[in-house]
Amino acid sequence: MALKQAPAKVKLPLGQVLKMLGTYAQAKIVEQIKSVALIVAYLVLFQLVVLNIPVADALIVALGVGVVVLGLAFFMEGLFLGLMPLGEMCGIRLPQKTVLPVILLFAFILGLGATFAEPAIAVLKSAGSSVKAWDAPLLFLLLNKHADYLVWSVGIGVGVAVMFGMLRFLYHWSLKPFIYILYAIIGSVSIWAYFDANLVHLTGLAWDCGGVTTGPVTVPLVLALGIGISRVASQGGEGGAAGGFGVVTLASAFPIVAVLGLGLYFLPDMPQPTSAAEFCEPGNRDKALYLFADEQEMKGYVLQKGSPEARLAFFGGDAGALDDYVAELASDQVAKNAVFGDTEAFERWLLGSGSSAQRLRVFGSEDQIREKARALSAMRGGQFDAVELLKINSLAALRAIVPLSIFLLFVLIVVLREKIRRADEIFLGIAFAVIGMSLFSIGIELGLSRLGGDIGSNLPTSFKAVEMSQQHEIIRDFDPDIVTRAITASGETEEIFARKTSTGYEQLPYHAEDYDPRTGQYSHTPIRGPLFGSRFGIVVVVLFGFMMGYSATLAEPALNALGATVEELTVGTFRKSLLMQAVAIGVGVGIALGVAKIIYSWPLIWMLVPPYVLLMVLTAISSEDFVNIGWDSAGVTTGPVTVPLVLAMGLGISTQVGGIEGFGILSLASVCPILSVLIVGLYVTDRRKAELEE
Amino acid sequence: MKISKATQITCTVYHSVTSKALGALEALGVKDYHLQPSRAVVLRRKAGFLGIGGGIGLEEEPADRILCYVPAADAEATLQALAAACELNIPGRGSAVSEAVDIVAGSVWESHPLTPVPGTEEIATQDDLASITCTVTRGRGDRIVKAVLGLGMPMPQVTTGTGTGLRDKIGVIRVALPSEKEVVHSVVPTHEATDILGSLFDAGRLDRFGAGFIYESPLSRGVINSMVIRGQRHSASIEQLIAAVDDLKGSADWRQRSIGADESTRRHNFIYNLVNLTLVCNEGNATDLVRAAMAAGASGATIVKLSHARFDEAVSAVSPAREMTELIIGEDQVEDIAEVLVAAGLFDANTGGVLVRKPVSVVCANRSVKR
Repeated sequence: MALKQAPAKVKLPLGQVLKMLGTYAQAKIVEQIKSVALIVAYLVLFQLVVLNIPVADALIVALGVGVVVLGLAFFMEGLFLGLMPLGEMCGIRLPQKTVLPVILLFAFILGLGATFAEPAIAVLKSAGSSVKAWDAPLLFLLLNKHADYLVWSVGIGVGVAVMFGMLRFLYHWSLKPFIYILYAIIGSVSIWAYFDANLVHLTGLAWDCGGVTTGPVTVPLVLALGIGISRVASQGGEGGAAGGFGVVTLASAFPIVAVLGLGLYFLPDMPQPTSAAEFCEPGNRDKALYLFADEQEMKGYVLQKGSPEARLAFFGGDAGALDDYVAELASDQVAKNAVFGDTEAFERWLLGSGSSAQRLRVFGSEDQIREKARALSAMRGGQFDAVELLKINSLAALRAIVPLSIFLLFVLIVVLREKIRRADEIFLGIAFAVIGMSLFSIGIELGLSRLGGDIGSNLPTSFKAVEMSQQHEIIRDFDPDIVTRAITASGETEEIFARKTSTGYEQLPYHAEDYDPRTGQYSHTPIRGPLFGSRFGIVVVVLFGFMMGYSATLAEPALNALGATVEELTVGTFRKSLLMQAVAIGVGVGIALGVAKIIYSWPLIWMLVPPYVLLMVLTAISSEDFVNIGWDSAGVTTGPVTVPLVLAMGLGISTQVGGIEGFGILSLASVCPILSVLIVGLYVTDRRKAELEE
Repeated sequence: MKISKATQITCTVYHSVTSKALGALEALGVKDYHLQPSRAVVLRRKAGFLGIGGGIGLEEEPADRILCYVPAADAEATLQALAAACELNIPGRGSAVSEAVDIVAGSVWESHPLTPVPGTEEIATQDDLASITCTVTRGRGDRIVKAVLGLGMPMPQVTTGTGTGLRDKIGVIRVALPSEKEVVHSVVPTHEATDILGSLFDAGRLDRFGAGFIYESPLSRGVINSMVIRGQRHSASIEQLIAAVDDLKGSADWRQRSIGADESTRRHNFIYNLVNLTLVCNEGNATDLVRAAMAAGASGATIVKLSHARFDEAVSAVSPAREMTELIIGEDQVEDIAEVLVAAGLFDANTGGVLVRKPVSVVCANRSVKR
């Protein structure tokens, strides 16, 4: 068709090229520095000034933050150069060149593929190891034995969501009925689940599955695809500026429904949550075995994760049989590897959780036990393996980006018989995205997660006394004879001991249970707080939650891409900054509420139902544009920056105050930004209407 | 080159009024139209809070630019219909202008007479109008917009596009050069147009190489939006305002709206009597077409995205996703470049091209550009 008459190439001198690249790189990096500056400054300041705790491994953290900035710069550029144009091209061409079933099939495969590619899904699976079979049998089943069913149901949920998203664009359906129907289902199942011991744990997982599928690769790709399709399907732009939005909302809601459905399917076969010992009793064996592949696996699991009573209960109270089994494991390398992975893990378990009879039987003598304990404690300590880190993260990035890109290219070239325009730019973009994503995840792991984890566990010191497990240290060759007594104001005595440090002498409290006479080691964990008194301290923590949610959201890559797209589509009338501020404030409020929920252990249901009811009302009265943008931005807030920080903080606070679930924070963090965007939208719409009438 | 005479109607209204404008066009019997999203900018006087944050700022709102081609005889009726349907006589609603164009034979356009809707109120349309179009790098549009509003010209609109030119000749290194452009459209009185052109050229500092491009073209008639500033509590007559500013400035020297025609001509490099060759085609084809035109001697151009729709839902070669680009070239180049574009497939069935020739009265260019 087109005449091949490319204009003559201009060869630029090297100096000019370098100067151009320099300006370009500088602009992109400065942009990302701006987006992460707030969160990093906030985390560091909070550590140093408020909590007065030095940043552990400051150098590695600084390196990590630098890598995050570089990674984000590459990743965002890769999105705009490669992935998004590719998605948009598919979107424009598909309706023109194929029939509806092909479009739907394409949409379904894209959704399914995106789910399998999403790294967060792997994280969910690995979270399964911390769930105890007796605490939440249904959750345990879906995360372990039937983890594949779980991933498939999420994938099918996303696939169906993308299909419906495309149908919406082609036939101009409103998003509102989808929201009403889907959230009515989700809402009623969640409320019902609240009264069922098994389901209540599953709802948390279901909501999280909705969040993780809308990651930094899927969202921009699906957005671009939607924009392409609605450009072709829209009747002269009458559909409004938000043509192309809404799929993210569906892709968050459908997987929740799918996972809840899967849970309901398995529910009748589930044993009720109970204590570990009762779970392991031979009388309950039939139902319990449903959670495992066979009895052998369950035996290994109980041994590893169960309490001593549970282990005993498993063998019907026969301690001899239990000891025999342990001895058999020690000698049988294959069985040991099947249960524990390797010998070291087995020995650690034996020293930590085994009974003294079992230890003696395996190691032979008391001396040998002491020897082993010393050897193993010497091996402890975090190694920092840069190569491994690089390998894992680049593999994950490749897996998240390359198969999807190949799929899109395949569809464009083979199915649609299109010529790829600016192919060099597209490939450069894909390469940038892969590089960016690997750097970014490495940086998150090295920098932000560490900072977040540090703060999570230290934060409660502002309102209560907390053991600083991070500053935990082992004092070797401890002699209990040096312990003396000190007297308190009320006349009680406490045991203390003194120790020499490089700067002088310090006195530490002595707790008999921390001294291990077998190894001669005393483990000391310093205690800090409360720094601000309990009431003001809680205010500080809640405020901190707000600031963290606010500043982490501004650094979220998927939200940045969404904001840029909204600004582009509305020709600058809905500024990216306005959207991001609205979403960030929403997330901040959500996290602050979540933190308060954990501290005061307010029931989650009372915190979620009123906002969702309000949300339905606002959705009904808002314009289609803002409903699409608002709901979509909620889907993207739970991304790779926010989630590790929020989860670390949630877990940190809840372990300190004795709560069980850190989950509530995330769901509050996704409902509040929808509210804030819709409120901004109503205000803007109202003002515009008033102006037209002026 | 065979051409047919027609009139291009450009109607700019706030997004919420778009359906009214489209209704009016459909009632007239217009078959199809192009639509381009834009942002309309006015000044707003803000009250501020306790004296903080008050002052005059820009206020941006989504607006649509609706483009269609009608027979020259029906131009006035179309303007009337649009003005009546959207109440364009009320300041702040929008504008509609017409300009005479030549449509090159082979374009996807057929002339058919329209049927004016009887009973619409007579609304006075103005002549003596010109349009000024200024293309700058993304992010610099507001500078031009402020200058337009500062000169008292009503409600400019900004659209976005992608630049081509040097960028496409340097291989993949091009990703380092930003290609996003903003295009500022404004309508001004003809007698002031060239002065304003010069002022905007200075305001945008377009004398620097590659900073942007600005030109003026004649319009036939139009209803223009006279809204410049919103949120004024009290209205003042223009004389009151002039007196107040005289008082502030201490003299009446500021009243010169421009540096004077002679001075302006000496300072600026004005190039007269050029032609705007506008091509509209299905999405994805414009890049190749512009390349072909550039090889034939056109300088760079900006490609903007449009959407196309038909009122009768008939199947046509025209895709709903369209691209438009304006090539500003010399009169003598028109034949050659049009030929190259046709050879490059502009009128192929799957391109659905439209090629339109319009006069450009003045281009204000960098000193180094000579004709």
